[in-house]
Amino acid sequence: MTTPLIEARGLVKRYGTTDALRGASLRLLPGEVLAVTGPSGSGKSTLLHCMAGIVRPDEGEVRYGAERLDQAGENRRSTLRRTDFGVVFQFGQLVGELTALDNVALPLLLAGTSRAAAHKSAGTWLERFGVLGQAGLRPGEMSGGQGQRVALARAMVTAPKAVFADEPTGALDSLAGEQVMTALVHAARESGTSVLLVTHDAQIAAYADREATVRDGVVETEDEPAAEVTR
Amino acid sequence: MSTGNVLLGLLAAGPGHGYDLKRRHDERFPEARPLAYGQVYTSLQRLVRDGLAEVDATESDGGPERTTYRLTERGSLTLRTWLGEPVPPAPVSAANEIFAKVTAIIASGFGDPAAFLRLQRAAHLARMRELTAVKTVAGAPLSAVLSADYALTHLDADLRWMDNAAQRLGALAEEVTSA
Amino acid sequence: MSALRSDALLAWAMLRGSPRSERWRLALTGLGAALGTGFALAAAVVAVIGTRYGGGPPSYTNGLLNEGGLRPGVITALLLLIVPVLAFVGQCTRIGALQRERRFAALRLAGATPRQVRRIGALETAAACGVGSLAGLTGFLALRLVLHAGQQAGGGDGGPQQRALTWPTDVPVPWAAFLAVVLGLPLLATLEAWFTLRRAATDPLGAAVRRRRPRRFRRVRLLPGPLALLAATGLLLMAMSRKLGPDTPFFAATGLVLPLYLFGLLTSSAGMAAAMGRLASRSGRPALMIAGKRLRADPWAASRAHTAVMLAALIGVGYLTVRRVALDALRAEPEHHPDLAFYVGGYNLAGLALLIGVAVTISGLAVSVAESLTARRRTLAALAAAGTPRKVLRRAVLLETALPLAPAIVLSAACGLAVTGPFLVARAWSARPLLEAALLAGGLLAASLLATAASLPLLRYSVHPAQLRYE
Ligand SMILES: Nc1ncnc2c1ncn2[C@@H]1O[C@H](COP(=O)(O)OP(=O)(O)OP(=O)(O)O)[C@@H](O)[C@H]1O
Ligand SMILES: [Mg+2]
Repeated sequence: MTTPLIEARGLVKRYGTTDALRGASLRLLPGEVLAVTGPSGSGKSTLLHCMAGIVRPDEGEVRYGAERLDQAGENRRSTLRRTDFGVVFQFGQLVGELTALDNVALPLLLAGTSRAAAHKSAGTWLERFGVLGQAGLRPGEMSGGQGQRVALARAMVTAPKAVFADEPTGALDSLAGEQVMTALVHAARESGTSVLLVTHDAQIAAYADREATVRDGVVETEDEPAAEVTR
Repeated sequence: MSTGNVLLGLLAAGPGHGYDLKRRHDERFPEARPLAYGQVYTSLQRLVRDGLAEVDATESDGGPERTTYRLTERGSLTLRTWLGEPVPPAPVSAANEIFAKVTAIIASGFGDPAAFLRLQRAAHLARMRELTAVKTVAGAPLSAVLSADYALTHLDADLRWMDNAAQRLGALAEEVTSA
Repeated sequence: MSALRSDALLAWAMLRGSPRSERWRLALTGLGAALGTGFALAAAVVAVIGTRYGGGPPSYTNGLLNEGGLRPGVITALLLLIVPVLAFVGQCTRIGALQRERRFAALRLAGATPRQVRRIGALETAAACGVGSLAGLTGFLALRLVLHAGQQAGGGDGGPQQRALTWPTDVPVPWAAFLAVVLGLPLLATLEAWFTLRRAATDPLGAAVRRRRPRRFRRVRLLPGPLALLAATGLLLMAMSRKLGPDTPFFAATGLVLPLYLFGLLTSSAGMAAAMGRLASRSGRPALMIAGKRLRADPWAASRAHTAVMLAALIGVGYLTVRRVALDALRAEPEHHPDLAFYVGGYNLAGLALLIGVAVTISGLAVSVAESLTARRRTLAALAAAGTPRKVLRRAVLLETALPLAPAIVLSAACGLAVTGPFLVARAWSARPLLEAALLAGGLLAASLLATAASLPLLRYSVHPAQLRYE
């Protein structure tokens, strides 16, 4: 069996009196696209946040290789987000004040890459996702689909090990959503990036290799990994 | 939708012989069940009998003899009428069968309706994954994408219905057992 | 160093794309820095008068500058003027706070460490304050040149040594002190930003995902304020009843009573706003009800915005009373005090400083009302869309200032009177200080309402239905 890229075990997360997670376990394998589905409020987003190191679980562990993300400090988890992980949300992950080009270059700039080099790779990724023409626009000036593709470019610009996508097509119509998903899956397959894809839309979940369903804060079903992930 | 109507549509693009028509159909509707050659042949016979199609030419360049057919005036009129009518919104049968099974499982006590729905969901999603793979292949023809989409959307509708049902199994069980 | 450079470039890129509110915030912050720099520079100039850097023995028309014993007072007054400026800058930092929080969260999500976000935020402040400080320096030097030219022209004959100047423009510019001010002020502001950003910079989900619930107002917090006020008054009465001689109780009392009053006022302002809110929200009048509900929901906002005005009322009333009583005493025995004009001049100068402070304070209030109108535009637009007449909303905004501020000013003025009470009683009793205090309180309230009214045109923009379209 392949060793997982990221493994969550027995995650518990409470917000006040609501238990968002109550013992959720999930494995994200290297290079796979894993869909997480489930009813609204079941804890999908919280699970994703925990596995991406954005939120610390109250109990349980998140392993990334030999590292314990649930114990890693704020700085280490921030660094991981600009080197090993990328995130795409439904909206709100782009910096409204920055142009698309700067937004995509942001993780590189934050890591200290030179401006010219960062803009060069940002441009390449914008072109791959077909939004190079919008490079000079700010998020407020783009359509939802264009914005999501810019967000994808930003998630991929660091050649991450994993991309965490929470309803990346939630605000798009089906055609725009299809384009975003195709772009994401192709890019991920090509670079061997794992994708954790939270969605409530089965048509979007169908882009994934496996599906896990969440209900009431636990992972109810998780497809067995295929003997060999086809790609 | 009769095979005859489909053949009329294919002939409208230009005359063709039986095998030709079958190939055109299978290419354009890759997700549909391939037409059997025998079926094409009998349907053509029937179209000729009804005066909707006629023999265009018979040729045999070395090989076996081939008959090319073309549309008649009446045939194109019939086609026009068919294309002008809406397709009756027929009840979709798959969900009905799933529903029938769920109800039967509850009534008989043979198995767990939730587990069955999970199984069905996995099956549906597996099929949807195949269809998605078909349509996301680089350079997939638009006809392939659109027909995959058609199937995907219907499967998705089933899935949504199943998710809905899965959340209300308790109430359904009460209704079924009390009846 | 290169990290700092890349952060600075990022901050600059963001500034170029920032909304208007952000530019307003930075411009007003810069303005505050310029004002503060001006006051500090003036203090520096006064500080070197009469020293070996001061360009000869002082001989000015204004006695306050001539007497070595009074100059520290002038310096203190000038430095104290920085306090309302700080309050003003504090109000300015709240402009666009939500948007800034969202931006910081987005940066964190993209992998910025909390430290980096704080650095970027502090850099913005540093730049705004640096530019403001430089502007303040330029303005100060220009003013000095103009005054100098004016005095030169008006002076006519006599050598510069004999002629008495009004302004100390003969003092050579104390460059070392100026440098310290121009560098030190932005540095202080930057450090302050660095610390206040500690909380803003932590959550990568931040405002982008969920909005924080406002802090709950707990009734227990109502207690310490009135208790402190009561204790101070008790102390004061005790000191007065002992009648320890004309001056002793006053100084002894103010040493303890003034801080107690200050503490009491500051801690009871939120409670007062909440209480007024509760009263008003029971009323059937829509404007009162809206204002009341809003005050109950967030009494801290009212307290934040009104603290500076309360301080101004307290200090203003205290000043007026002391001035009135002191000058009356001097006038009563003119034979003992031939230098009456000198004292009057001194008090007037202090009054001018106070007036400047009040002006800055009232500007801060205007900024806070404008900020709250833009920050709440969705709510306001929803109210308007639901059919609330704009007149009612306008009245509600005014009431929201007036309801908590009127009792707060009255209370502060009363405290100011009380602090100077022993002084008043020790001297001949007269009603004039009371009248002056009442006038001051009324004036402050009127000015505050005017400042609020000045922000009302923003309401038209805030209630536009388009505000409902954007998240
Ligand atoms: N920051 C928070 N503060 C308070 N409660 C929260 C917070 N985040 C999540 N919750 C609660 O935790 C539960 C799970 O939320 P979560 O966002 O993970 O659900 P979800 O499965 O992503 O739902 P959806 O499909 O609607 O996005 C919900 O009940 C939610 O109200
Ligand atoms: Mg969610």
